[in-house]
Amino acid sequence: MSSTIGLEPVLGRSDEMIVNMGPQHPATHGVLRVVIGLEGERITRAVPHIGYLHRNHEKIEESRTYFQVVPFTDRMDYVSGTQNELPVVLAVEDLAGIEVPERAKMIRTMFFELFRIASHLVWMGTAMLDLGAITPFLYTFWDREIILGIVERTAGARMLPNYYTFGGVRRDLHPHFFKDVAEFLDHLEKRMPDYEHLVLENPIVHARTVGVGVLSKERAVARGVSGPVLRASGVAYDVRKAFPYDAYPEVEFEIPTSDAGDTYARFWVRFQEIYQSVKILRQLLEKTPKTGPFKGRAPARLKISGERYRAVENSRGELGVYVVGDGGDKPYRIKHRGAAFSNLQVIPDLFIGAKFSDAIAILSSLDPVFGEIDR
Amino acid sequence: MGLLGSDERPRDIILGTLDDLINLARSRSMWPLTFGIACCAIEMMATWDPKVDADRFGMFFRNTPRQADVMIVSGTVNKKLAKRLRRLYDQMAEPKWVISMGACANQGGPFRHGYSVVEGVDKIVPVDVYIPGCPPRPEALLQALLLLRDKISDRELRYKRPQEIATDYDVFAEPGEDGRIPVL
Amino acid sequence: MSLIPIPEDRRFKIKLIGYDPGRSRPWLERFVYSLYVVAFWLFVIATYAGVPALFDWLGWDGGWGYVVMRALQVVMLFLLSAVIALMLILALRKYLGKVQERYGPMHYGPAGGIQTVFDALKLLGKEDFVPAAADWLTFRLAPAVTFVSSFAIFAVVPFASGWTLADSNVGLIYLIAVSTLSAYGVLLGGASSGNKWALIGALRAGAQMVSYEVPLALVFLSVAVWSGSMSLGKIVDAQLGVWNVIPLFIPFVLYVISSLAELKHIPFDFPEAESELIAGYNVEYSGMSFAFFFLAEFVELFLLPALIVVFFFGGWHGPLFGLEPGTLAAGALQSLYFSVKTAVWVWIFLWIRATLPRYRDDQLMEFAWKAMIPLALLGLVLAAYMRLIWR
Repeated sequence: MSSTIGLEPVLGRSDEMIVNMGPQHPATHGVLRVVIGLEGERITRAVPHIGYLHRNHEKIEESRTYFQVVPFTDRMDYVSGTQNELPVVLAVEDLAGIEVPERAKMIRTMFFELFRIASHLVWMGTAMLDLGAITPFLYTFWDREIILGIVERTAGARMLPNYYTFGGVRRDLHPHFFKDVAEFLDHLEKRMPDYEHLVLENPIVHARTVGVGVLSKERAVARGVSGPVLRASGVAYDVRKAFPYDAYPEVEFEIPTSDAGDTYARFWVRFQEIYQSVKILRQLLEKTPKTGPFKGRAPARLKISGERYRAVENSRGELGVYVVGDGGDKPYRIKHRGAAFSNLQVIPDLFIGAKFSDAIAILSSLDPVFGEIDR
Repeated sequence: MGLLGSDERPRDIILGTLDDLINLARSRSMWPLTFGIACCAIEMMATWDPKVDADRFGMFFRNTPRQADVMIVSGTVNKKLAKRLRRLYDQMAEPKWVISMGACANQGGPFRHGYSVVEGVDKIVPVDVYIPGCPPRPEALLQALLLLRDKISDRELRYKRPQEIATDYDVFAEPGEDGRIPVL
Repeated sequence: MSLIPIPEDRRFKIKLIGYDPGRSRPWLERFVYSLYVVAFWLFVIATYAGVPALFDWLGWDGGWGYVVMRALQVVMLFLLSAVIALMLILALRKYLGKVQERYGPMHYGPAGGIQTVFDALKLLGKEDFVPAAADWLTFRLAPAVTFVSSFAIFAVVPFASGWTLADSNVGLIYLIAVSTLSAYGVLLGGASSGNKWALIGALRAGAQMVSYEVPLALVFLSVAVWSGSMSLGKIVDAQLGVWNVIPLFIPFVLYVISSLAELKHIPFDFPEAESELIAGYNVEYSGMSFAFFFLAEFVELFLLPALIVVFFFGGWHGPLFGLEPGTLAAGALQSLYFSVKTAVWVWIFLWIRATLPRYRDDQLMEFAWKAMIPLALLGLVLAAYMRLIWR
């Protein structure tokens, strides 16, 4: 049976104790099961089992129209909200030749970056919870509530707003949007030094994460890792710069990269990404016209034929979608490329040889979200 | 749930008052189990954040099922997880309650037509409170927790225990053994 | 066909009495928690001065009367520890709320004051079973061992001058013995649970507590050398002029760190690492057995700061405003000073709990064996040297 993979005894390792870090564990990353073999405190085998959240996204989407597919994809990387909708929207816009007005592109990019900040805040709270500090979790969730309030006023729903659509966005921005976002950015910039003190400059966090779980550049590229994990290992690949989309060609931002490849580098890279997102948002707040078109013209019944792969830079890495249309209004096949799915492949590499608490720190730095992994 | 697991409130004054008191205490100090599955788990975590703080009502998370009272099933349950969920429910100590949070846990949600999704967690465990929403707001989860609190301390309602809904297939079978999914 | 019973003819209304997020009423919170402190203080006075006075008045001074008096004091101390645990659990949650920008328990009782009573009653009514894979005798005994070893520290703590249950000449040795015993309870509990996670937690706990006993014992030795006695009452008496924290600063720092480790408090809460080991050695415990572990931890959370105050901060010393030492009023005032100082230290411990993440266990052991023991030895030598010079 497939659920016993990894539990086979190995000759010569009679001291090994096999523990099951089961689908329910308080590290709140979701339903991951890792079969860990421990010799004392050192890990000698690590076999991850996924699939506990397999919800048949791709099969169900074969019987939904393209307009119905978009809110469905929201549920994949549920921490990042609208970021999941963008690959499908871009692919279908390419295949159907739908024009997107400039202002709509900027609105989409603003929401994209707002959700990146929200996702990194969740990551920070839960990563510190894994390391033992119970307080930053509440601070970051309070900041996330502010973002969700802004999203809710515009899009209608907090966490999974069905906001992007083919040609732009569904609704115009609410009247106080620019003021709200500017206030939030000021508030966040006042809080970030506190977060740096609590997280990045904390000697206990240093002791737990520096030098722990080093992922080399070659290994990262070989495993298909993307996102902050890849950039922390030294490869400066970001889909926003490599294959730009929406309003990214018009904003200036940098890609934080680190050469260390350890868990602390992954923490650091995500922090810097929050700063870069704040920078992008400030530029966009000035550039976006306050009135104007928010949606291009798209036919009511959308008939797509052809194949297309589009990818975006999710909070976790490269989230891609491969749309195959056969001329009807429902897709023939949609394949999602989950960012965190490829990132999880490094678990055996990083866990084996590390101590058990290091494994928790490493897992929290890989930041898996199981909606995206199991789809 | 009676004092000694009884099915109705004791008639005499002393035992009856004791029963009321113990159930009052149980309702005011419900400890949920950390079992977040999917998107609703994030909203569940958001219920304990400073905006809507469920810790005001004495609820804080316990990580082990032995010490938890309430299992908040937040997210889609699929057939692979069904067996583990039932096992967790069995490991909880009596008295225990289940809150089914979100559309997926109520009846399968947007994923109802999938081949691997169980259409609602009440086919696996008996559910006391259902919360609609996808995902429900933190305030909705708080309302459900308060509803459960009132249900536990209510004189007649606390003795009415729900049951699981029967299914026409075996929810707990491993893939390939339940006769519905062919092994590839 | 749904088998879930639906109530007929019932309009089920949600009673949201008290659900008003805007009302925090800080004056009420301060009032309620001062009431707890006052109740604690009155309990202490009743135990240490009231009971002997009662027995004096009754005239039961003989052999058996003495035994009964001491037994009654022990029973009252048990009730006191229950009150302490109630207060501290609530204080922890309210304080965590304050640090985390929210309110803790707020609705049950004025400003949440009755919350822990409900927790205790609920744990009483919870099913308490022994897992099939566990060794039932050890499983049942382990929480008792832990609780007894924490509670036994009460015997030597001086609340005021003369107010100790048993001020023996070897109080320090008794203290070392009893705090080592608590490691047994944890080890037995985890190992007998029949669960790999509990076993890992128990082994970690055992290793950590044993490693931190050594600097603890050396610090006790330093205090004994400096004060010239091993009885806690005399140690406090010797701090009349200057509190021990000034000459014995290094042992003081080491003692605070060792206390955190003995308490299994963050940053040393490895054995019950909540996000790693799913409650560590506690995993299989439910109901009242779990409540005993919980109670033991919170009683120790009170007692170890009390010991810090006894050893380093002058115990019950404070200005007496002309009262005669030895009378009831002086004793009451001194125990009030003791309570306030202990409360300050409990607050500091809770503050550390709210803020810091936890260390990895090999880093913990490394720190204990490679950094703390040499420093403790240095402190001992310095204490001996200073005693030679100044006394």
